[in-house]
Amino acid sequence: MPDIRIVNVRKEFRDVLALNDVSLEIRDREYVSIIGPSGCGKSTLLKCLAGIIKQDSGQIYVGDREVTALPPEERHLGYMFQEIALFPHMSAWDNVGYGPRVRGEAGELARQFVGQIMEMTRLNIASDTYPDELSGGAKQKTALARAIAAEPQLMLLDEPLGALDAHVRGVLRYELRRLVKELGLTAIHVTHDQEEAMSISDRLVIMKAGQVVEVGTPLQLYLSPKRLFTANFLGEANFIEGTVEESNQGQITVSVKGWKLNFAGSGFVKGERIVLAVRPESVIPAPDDQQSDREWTGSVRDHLLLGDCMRIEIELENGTEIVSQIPNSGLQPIKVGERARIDFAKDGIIPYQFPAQGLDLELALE
Amino acid sequence: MREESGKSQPPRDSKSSITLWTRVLLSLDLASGSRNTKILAYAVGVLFFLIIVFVPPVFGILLGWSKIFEVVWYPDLLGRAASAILASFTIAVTVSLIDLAAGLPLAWFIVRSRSTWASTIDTLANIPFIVPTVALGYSVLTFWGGTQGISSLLGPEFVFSPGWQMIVLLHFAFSYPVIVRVMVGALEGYKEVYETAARTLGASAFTAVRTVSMPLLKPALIAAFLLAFARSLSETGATVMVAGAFENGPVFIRNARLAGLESPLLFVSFVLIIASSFFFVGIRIFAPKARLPISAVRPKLEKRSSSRAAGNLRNLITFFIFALFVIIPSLFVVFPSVGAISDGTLQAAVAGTGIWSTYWQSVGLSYSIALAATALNIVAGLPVSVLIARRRGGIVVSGVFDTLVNIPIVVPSIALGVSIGMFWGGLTQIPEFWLLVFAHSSITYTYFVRSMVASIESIPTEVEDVARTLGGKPLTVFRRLTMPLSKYALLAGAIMAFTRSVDETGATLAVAKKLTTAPVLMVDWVRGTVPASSSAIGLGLGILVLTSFVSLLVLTVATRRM
Amino acid sequence: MTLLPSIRLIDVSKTFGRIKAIHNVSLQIADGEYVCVLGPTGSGKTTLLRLIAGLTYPTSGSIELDGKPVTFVQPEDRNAAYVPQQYALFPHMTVRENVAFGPLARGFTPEESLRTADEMLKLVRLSHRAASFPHELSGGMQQRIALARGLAGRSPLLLLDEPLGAIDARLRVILRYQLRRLAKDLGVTVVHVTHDQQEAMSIADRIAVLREGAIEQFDHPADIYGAPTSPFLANFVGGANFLEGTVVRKELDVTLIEVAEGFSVTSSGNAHPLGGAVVASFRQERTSILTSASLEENLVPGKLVSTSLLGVFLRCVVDLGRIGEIVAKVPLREALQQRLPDRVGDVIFVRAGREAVLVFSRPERALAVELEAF
Repeated sequence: MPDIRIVNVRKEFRDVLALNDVSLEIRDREYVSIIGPSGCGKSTLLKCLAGIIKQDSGQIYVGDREVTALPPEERHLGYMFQEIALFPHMSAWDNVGYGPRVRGEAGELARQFVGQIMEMTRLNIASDTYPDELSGGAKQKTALARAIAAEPQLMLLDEPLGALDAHVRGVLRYELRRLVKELGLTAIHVTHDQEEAMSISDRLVIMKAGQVVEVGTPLQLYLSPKRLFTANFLGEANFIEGTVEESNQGQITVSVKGWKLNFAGSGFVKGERIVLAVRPESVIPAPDDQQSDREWTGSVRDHLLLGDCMRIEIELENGTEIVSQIPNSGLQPIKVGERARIDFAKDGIIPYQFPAQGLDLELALE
Repeated sequence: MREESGKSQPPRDSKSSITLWTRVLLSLDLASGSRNTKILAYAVGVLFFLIIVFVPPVFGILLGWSKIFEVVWYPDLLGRAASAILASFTIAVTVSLIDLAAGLPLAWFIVRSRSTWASTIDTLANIPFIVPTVALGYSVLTFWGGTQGISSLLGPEFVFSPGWQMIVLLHFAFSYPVIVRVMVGALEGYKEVYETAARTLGASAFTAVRTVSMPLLKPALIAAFLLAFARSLSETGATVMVAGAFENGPVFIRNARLAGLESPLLFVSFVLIIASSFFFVGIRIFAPKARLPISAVRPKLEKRSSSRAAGNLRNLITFFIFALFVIIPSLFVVFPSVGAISDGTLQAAVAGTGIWSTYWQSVGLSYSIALAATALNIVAGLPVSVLIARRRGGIVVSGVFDTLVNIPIVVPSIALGVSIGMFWGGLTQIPEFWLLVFAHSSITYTYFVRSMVASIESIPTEVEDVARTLGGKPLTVFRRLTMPLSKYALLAGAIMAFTRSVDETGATLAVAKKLTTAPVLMVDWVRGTVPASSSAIGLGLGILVLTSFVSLLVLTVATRRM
Repeated sequence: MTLLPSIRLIDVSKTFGRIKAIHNVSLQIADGEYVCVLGPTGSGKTTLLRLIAGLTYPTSGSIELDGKPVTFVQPEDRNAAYVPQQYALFPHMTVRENVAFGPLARGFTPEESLRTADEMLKLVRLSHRAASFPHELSGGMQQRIALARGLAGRSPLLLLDEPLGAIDARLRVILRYQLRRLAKDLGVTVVHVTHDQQEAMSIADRIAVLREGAIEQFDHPADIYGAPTSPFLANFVGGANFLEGTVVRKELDVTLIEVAEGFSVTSSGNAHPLGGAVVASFRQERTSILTSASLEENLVPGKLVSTSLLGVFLRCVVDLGRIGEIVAKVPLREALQQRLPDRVGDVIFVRAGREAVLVFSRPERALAVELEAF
């Protein structure tokens, strides 16, 4: 199975630049997710890879073969659509057998092959069942089986779980990864659901407005995102604006609306505007019964028991709102209205230069 | 926090700027909430449909039951009648199938090609709609049969004389745009993702279309076929012009009427009504179950058929057929009408001298009938449209109406006219004008209702649901949501009904004894029953084409502004 | 707040042909409550909402709104604002006209209606788009307009059908809290239909879990999570590990369940009889991973198959051999300290405290079917 190389691909629609010189390399057998907000170009990129859309300029290589100008049927890939797109006029089995059939294979051997694929995808469907009789999850699994039966070199998945219930999505995504890995395929999975992407990918590609923002493993991008947008898009984060008061010997002191914050870091200049990203699980709340004017205290605005974790919204005395999300320890949470103080976990604070275009634009998810 | 809870209804004495008209509307709105009012509204629509549109054409013929089978005693006439009926069906089926094969590639080009020519071709494909069928008939007659038409291009061997070949050429020309329109609509609504999926699975473009898209478009193909079939079966005026000595159903009825042979006339009308209704319903029920050949795949051959060269060749052939058999014959009538400007015929027409006074009278009559029929259709057709589109009364009831509403256009219009004439003539003494209005109303009703039904169905029911939960009474919802969102369909449906009525020849031939509408007059001019020079004919038809063109222009402009 | 329940369904059923969409549902929702109706597609949630709205009538049973029977009352007379999944904004009207529709339809003057519309637009922070048309707005904005329109009619009841369904995952999280806050500020009662249990858990006062037309459980989120009444619920809301077994010992406050030869699970509680066929389940986040063995109960060795990121946890799949495969969610910081991502392939130990083990009777259908695996 080959490496995939996307080189300087550009695509314009009317007056929208969907892909702005995008270059990407994907290794053999990698499970890569491309994520970003709606309109970032991820679907367009996938369609160019598949040959469904023709790019304006740039090249695409699958292994040593340049596929830039080839039609989809000659690119040897499997494609999964958000709309699922099972052929309504054929039974589920005939759908899965479509790939072999258009290659000219028919008869008993082909039928056995289809049976093997159905078993591998753990699909238990009678041969006379039609797509409209299947549940959403079963439909998408059938679509997966159909793509696999075409014996592709590469699997392209375009928001494959978008049309499904949340619960089904949560289960089926692990199935997707399992099958792709079992067959030793390379997979490129496009989605707007960052939780989905983080849970099953080897690497993530973050896109915004037609460009690649950042690339890395889920852990890398979650724990040390290089861009503010990534910090906001991948998981949740609190964003605290402040000014650098001191920065030396690996320690930075930041002043935030009169309060001070100290953490390990470097590369910033005194007086510089700074934005700190803090993940909700790095904000540790504790009850504060002392009436003193301590820093980083406030009152609990709302707390929600989300099952496996607890989400606490605190309105700090200096006017900022901060969100904490910690695993449900079974202990009683601080009541709404009561005072609390917060501590930040070590290396839970990620500093960024204040963005030139303003914080809202940089963080914008739409 | 709930202080406003009591304020969900306005205070009774609110100072308002509500005008009288608004007050009237509001009370009507309120009234529409009651179940009885709703039933009344639908009942009016349904009764109109039954009494004016459906029952007379389908059952009126039965009033002449005793006379229908008298023809059995005259075996020659019976034989002639039988072959006429057979001819009608054979031509209709054959032409529709050929039209389907020839029109589908053009529709495909219009929707899928990224060429700038696509929208031009789309507009061109509408031309035969613009040309009234009587004008088309004369156009075909002179192009394929005259000395200045095809024979001047390819030589005198290519002349056709009036007869069944010309009927086929004529029917091909006017059924073609029907196919193209239906298929363009279907293709635009077709989700290309299925075809794309097939291609990602390794199918060449040709294979993907053949094994996936065609089966999925089958309902549209069937609908297109049925419409083309109905048009071919039903058309009278133009067919009479080009039939010569040949007889299909409608031509036979006209001839029988002119000869005063009542029984064969009734017999053929009866058979045509029954046979076409059954054929229509039968295809509707059974055709969806038929399977297209999709199992075998020949990868290499189909890949070659998908190549760009193959595609270009296919387009070339399609355009050639389109130009030669549809566009040119349709527009050929322009020549004699242009010629009429220079040879003095135009002045005579404007002055209204000689044959022209009858002409203008008949044009005036045609338009008044059309206006009255269209107005009736709009008022009485709206409730039935809502009933069908929103499945009021249940799926079965609305399904039945959906089928019944289509019957008047399937039945040949001349047979329809005979039946209608029998119904009203046997029951009351209606002035002939109103008889014609009812006949035209019956024939054009379907066009209006189908346009409205399609439009209403395209409005998601959630929109109306939300409006109701926000406090909107049924009439409020209808006038503030359904109607504004269906403006285009209403106008389009009305104009289609109007132009169809102006164009209508068959039923008029059957019903009218004293009055003459414009198309009927034109048929007389062409057949020679009323002497008229060829430039007069050309001009007379040209004026009809012009007015038809103007109404369609109005439609285009109005819809672009919506 | 009034004391009358805002909504009351009494033994309501709805049949379409041969399909029973709603099965004897009885519910009582208090004034000002935010209730989520949670269930998979096809469970009847939308039908339930439409019954309350009056867009369809029950086949049997009765419905009361604010104490008044409304079972067959038409929607325009019910005062319950309905916001469907696709928002159904009126495409030919501007945003302002859309929002003003409700008051206008109820008989308020045009001036008053537009004033109310402007108030609502300010509330959802879209005053600057008042003159735009729906198709010019983004999905998130359309959703807020649909809400404003529903609220403008000053109905005390808001019925939302998957209000966040069409919105990107990240935005959904932000918008759902705003939705709850808006409803609470205005004091409206909300019935919010969704298939997303995270969504329901985060914003509902109470959740009604609907399955195949019937209510499985109707409780506060914490109670559904902490004390689910069936394996389906334990799986659907929050997810869990399941092991089938038999009760082999039963004491005052402890039950021992044999799930595989030589291995038993200890659970606190004694609701099930000796010899009974049961399912032992424990939440994934209450399953801990230890890197060294000890003599604690409910501790078993296994191979760490894979790790992946899941919210604030590291999701670890562990192969326990003949017992089966289980999933443990370890808080991320802890997991990184234990260097679990690097330990894939190693032998580690899995443990669940006895209080964390919930025991259910074995369901009639096979467990896999019951949990809706497909």
